[in-house]
Amino acid sequence: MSETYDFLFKFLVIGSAGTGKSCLLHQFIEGKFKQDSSHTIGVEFGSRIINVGGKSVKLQIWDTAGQERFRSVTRSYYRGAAGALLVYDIASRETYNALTNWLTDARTLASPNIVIILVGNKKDLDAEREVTFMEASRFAQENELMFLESSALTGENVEESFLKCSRTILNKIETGDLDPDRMGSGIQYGDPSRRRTLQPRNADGGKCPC
Amino acid sequence: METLQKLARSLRTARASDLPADNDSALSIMMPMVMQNQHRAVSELISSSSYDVSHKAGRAKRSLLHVAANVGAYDCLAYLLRKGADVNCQDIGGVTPLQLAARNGHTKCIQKLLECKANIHIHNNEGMTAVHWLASNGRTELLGELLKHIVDVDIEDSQGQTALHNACLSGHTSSVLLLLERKADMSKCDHKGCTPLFYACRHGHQDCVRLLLSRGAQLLRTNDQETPLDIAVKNGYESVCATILEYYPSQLNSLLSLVKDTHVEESKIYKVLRYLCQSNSSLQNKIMSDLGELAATAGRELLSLSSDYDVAVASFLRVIRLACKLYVSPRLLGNSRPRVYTSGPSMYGRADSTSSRIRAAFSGRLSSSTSTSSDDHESPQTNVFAPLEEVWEALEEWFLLLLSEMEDIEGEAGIGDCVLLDDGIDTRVKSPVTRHMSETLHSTQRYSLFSKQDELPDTEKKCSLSRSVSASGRLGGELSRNVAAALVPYRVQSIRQKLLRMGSDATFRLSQPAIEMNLANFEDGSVSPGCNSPSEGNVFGFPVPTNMAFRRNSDRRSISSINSPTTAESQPFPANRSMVNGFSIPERDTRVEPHMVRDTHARRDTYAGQDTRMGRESHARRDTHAGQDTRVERDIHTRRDIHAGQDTRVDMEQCDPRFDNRTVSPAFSSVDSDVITMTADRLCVITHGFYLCCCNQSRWDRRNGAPPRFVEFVNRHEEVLQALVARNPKILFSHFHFLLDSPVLMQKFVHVVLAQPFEERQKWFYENLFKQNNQDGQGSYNIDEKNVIEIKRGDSLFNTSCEVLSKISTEILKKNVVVRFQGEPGVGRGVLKEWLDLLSKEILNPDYALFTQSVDGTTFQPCSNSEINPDHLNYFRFAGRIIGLSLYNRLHLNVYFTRSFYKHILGIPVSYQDVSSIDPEYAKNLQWILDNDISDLGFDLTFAVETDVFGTMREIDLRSGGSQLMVNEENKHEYVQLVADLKLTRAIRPQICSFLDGFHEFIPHSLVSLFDEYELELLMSGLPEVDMNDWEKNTTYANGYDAECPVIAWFWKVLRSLSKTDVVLLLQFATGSSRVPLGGFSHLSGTSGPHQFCISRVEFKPNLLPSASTCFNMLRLPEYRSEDELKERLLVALRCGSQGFDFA
Repeated sequence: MSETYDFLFKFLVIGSAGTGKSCLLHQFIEGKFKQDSSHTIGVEFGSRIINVGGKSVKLQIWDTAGQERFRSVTRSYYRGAAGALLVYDIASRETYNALTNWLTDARTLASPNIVIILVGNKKDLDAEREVTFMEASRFAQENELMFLESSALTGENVEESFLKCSRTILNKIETGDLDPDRMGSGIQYGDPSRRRTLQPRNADGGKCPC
Repeated sequence: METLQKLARSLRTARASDLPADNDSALSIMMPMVMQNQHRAVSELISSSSYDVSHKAGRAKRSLLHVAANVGAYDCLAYLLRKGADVNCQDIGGVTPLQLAARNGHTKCIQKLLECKANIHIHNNEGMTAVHWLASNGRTELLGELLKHIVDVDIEDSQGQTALHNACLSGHTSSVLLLLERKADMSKCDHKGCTPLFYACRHGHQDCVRLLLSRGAQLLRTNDQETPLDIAVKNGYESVCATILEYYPSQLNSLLSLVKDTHVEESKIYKVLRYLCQSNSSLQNKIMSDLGELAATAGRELLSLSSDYDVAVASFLRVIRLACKLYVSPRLLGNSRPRVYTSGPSMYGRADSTSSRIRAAFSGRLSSSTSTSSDDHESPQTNVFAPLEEVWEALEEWFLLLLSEMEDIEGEAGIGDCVLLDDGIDTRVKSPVTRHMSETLHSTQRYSLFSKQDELPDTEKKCSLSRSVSASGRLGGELSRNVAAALVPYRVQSIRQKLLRMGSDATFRLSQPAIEMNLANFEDGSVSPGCNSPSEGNVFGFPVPTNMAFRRNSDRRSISSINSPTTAESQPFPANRSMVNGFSIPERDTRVEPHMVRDTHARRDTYAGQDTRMGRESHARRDTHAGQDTRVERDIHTRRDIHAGQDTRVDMEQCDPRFDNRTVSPAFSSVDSDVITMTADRLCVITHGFYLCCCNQSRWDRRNGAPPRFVEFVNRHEEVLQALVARNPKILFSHFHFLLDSPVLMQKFVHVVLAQPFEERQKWFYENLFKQNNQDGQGSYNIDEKNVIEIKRGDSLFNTSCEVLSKISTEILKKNVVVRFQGEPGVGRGVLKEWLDLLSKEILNPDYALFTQSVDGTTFQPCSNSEINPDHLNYFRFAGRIIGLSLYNRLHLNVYFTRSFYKHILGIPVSYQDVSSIDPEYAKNLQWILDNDISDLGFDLTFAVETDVFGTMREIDLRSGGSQLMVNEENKHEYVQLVADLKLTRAIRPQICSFLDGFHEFIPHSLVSLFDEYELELLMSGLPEVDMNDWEKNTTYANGYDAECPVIAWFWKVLRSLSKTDVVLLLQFATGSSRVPLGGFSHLSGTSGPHQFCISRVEFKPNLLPSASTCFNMLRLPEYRSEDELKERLLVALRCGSQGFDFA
């Protein structure tokens, strides 16, 4: 049984251990908060079809383990990702400090055109906040990343993170900055988008030139 | 009067002239007439009676009009209608005459009925109308006719199907066309949600499909969510699929997603994809690259722990298999069809010497001009495997991760209460470190027993051995020697691993003694060199007995230099430590490092050849892609990986080898063991997929048994793979089947396999043997007379049997073999056994000159002079078949072969030590040459040997120009090896090959390699019944023992407590064969005549193992201090004897 979609994007969720990456994924796919969360081992997988800019896009999301020991394993997933969510915990300074490392990895290992959004998770823990919105925002700006603060617990900004990233990628496709046909772009065509029109062939039985 | 007239008339016309009064009988009389269109008779009869023309009768409740319409009796029909028959009457099934006429295509009748206002729209009980029938049967013209009268062309039957559905179902293209022209609705779904297109696709009606599609039919889903494309694929209609893709190219993705769907048969989707690839090269490109992506995604999903294991495994392997098949399918290759290599039990057809017969030939690059189109310059094939490279990379990383996990787990073992090392250890050294040592010792010993009990520690602990030993090294010579001695079997093991890494194939050229020598050269520098030259004794400082019996040193693992072609470089035993037979290790500082830091280790990254250091808490590795050096601070110790061919150094960190010093974060420790258990299975499957791809991706030499890339992979990750197999040996039969197929690979895993109890392996052997042949080993009880083998007893038994057997195919023999002796009624297993017994004895009859005896007369091997018998190769094949057949039927034969012959069957290289099994004295002499300096002894040996060929002396060159070449100190190893090769192999190679040909018809090589050369004997000849009392009664004692000694009493007590298998293993150990002599142990014979079993005393030294001298049936038993110790030492020797050696 096949689903229909216009595009398929490969996404990565990266960041230090314990920042809530798996919960973000779970919230995005299932719409619920995952209470009993354990350390991710290796890389987990989830997918969902969303509507972006009038097109249906299937997101294939790889949720990586943040623990150091899995670093080399997760690294092999970086290649061929179109977009990435770089996650840190707003209530943990350490995870914010580690961002540079993750960013470097992403920039060097993944495609140079990868679209990254910085996500400050656990927004609901405002009382224990250790990273201000402003400084993170500035960091994002300096590094040409999009930025959002989210909460996997409440669901705030979870969808938006993925949507925003997808929208940017879609724009790039439309402007020609990204070429889905190139291998390793992390983007694939889905069903109907192969055809210029969505209508079936005309009644005269002739073949559409496209 | 009238009656007479009627009578006359009736007689004249040969029929009744009046109808009976009741309508039913009247109808039954008239029915045959109507069927023959005898309208005149009918009209006569009816007009002269009061018959009701619309009467319905019979089980079907049909009227005459029905009958007429059904057979097309136009005139009758017209008459009946004129007479006012009900034109729309329905039978019991609701069928009208019009429907019947339509169904059977009676044009005129239909027209008539229509004239008479027959109602077209009436359904039968199933909702079918006339139109449906016409469409279903393809009566296009009539359909056209009827359709003129119809308002609703989409009239539905009870299943919601229209005429168009029916026409498509049956594939009547012209009817479809007609209906379409009449504006039939293509998108109409019946009650199951199926469109006409769906039905056309389901039944593969290519033209209908094309027609519908050209009119714009859409791919709508049924209620079961199937599209027309799905069903076309499922049923394997490749041209239909191609047509659909023409009109809907984007559907390719859905098609490809069906690759993973287990509801679709692999063969069907392969057919479709192959057709698509063949017909259109741009499509082929797309398919191959998408398939590759699909495979990569499937692989990653499999690695994702949240995915459903079974589903993920099935999908992944399917995609891989399909990708491989498509890769090699002969699309664009002009010539020979290559055969796809797919391993796995399902692919096992014939039992043959597998690795030598497997082909995977194709061309990697599309250079041929026979390609169907010109624009596939860039081979689409490579596209398939390219995305998978990332998965293989991930696999590599995972294995590295597992390795470090394994090495860390041992740290979890903790020091419990342990038994302190025995006395004799310097008490100064009894520190916690000693305790650590003894704990390790204990666990290794437990491990060494390979017990099935749950107390079996993690096999991962084995990895700690090298550490323990090296740590002990610094504790002082005595302790280290003792520890080392005890750990000997494992040391050899782990040393081999290290040595293997050092020089790739170098180790294959190491002989056992060389390895022993190298124990001292252990790169961790643990054991202080005892002595390095054989004459001084072994590395542990124990004196070497002159007739050193190397019990069970499976040279399979040492793959001794004797058989390898490049022995020219074999050098004398290393005089200095850094030289190793066959290659040299770079000179380096071996005075190492007191500490073995277990917490942290760094390994040299092999691919990049760069230095990576990995901290324990925080691993950082030199990233191969990035090429950056990331290091982590604390607790680093480096161990340069030997792949790079460089030194290993152990970097000193102030670290105490005691593991309790390590700080382990709690979070890690709990997760540690989980990673392995959770990912192990999945990683095995990925490995399997990797193997399949490697096999198909490029050419490789079949003789090696495995593609080079894969072999490298196995070498790199040996430890992890061994642990995986140890953890679950059954994967040998599923995902790791490649191990059984490839002796080269199997070598490294043999010890893991052999660690499983013999009975277990025997069970697997038979399970898989019968599974491969789709049998359950029960044999059918139906005796097919044609297949009964009739044998006459007497002198011609052998020859007749040969003849008879050569005529029957192996398949039939495997299914059911029934033997009967001429003149005797009996059939059945007993007769079969008797026959095979007789045959096997006959084969050994010296008159045939097929087999010769070993010197002690107990065992046999092929005779090198057998070619005196012109037909000898056939006879050997026959012999092989007999043995194979017996084994297949689980019958034990009373035939014992030499150890070296068993090795040949297993494909294990034989070495000079095996010469002892055919000629112990000669073997001793060979050993003597090796052990002693022969330079000045004046032997005048050349590389040529005198042999006795049925009385005539012939000189045989061991190598070209051999008779001119003198044997000296430098080349004596080569000499020994060559001469052993001659005696054991060369001279009898063709015979062995023929034997194996016959043998492998029944037993595939891969299965028999589950056993070692000792167990093969047990498998073939069974476990004999050993009478312990008889044995004890016929034992002599030597060197200080007698029957009263406590040690002896313990010995017999222990022996009686052992399992049957162990007892037989001991028998083999001590006497060289598992055969209990006829007449009991009093008839036990040795090299020079009868020689009873003898137990000889050896002075006790800690950790000494018993040894044996099989020529004299002598067991050398150290004077152990307790029964438990004796038992434990004995078992170590028995079970692990094959992994090392021992001295006593």
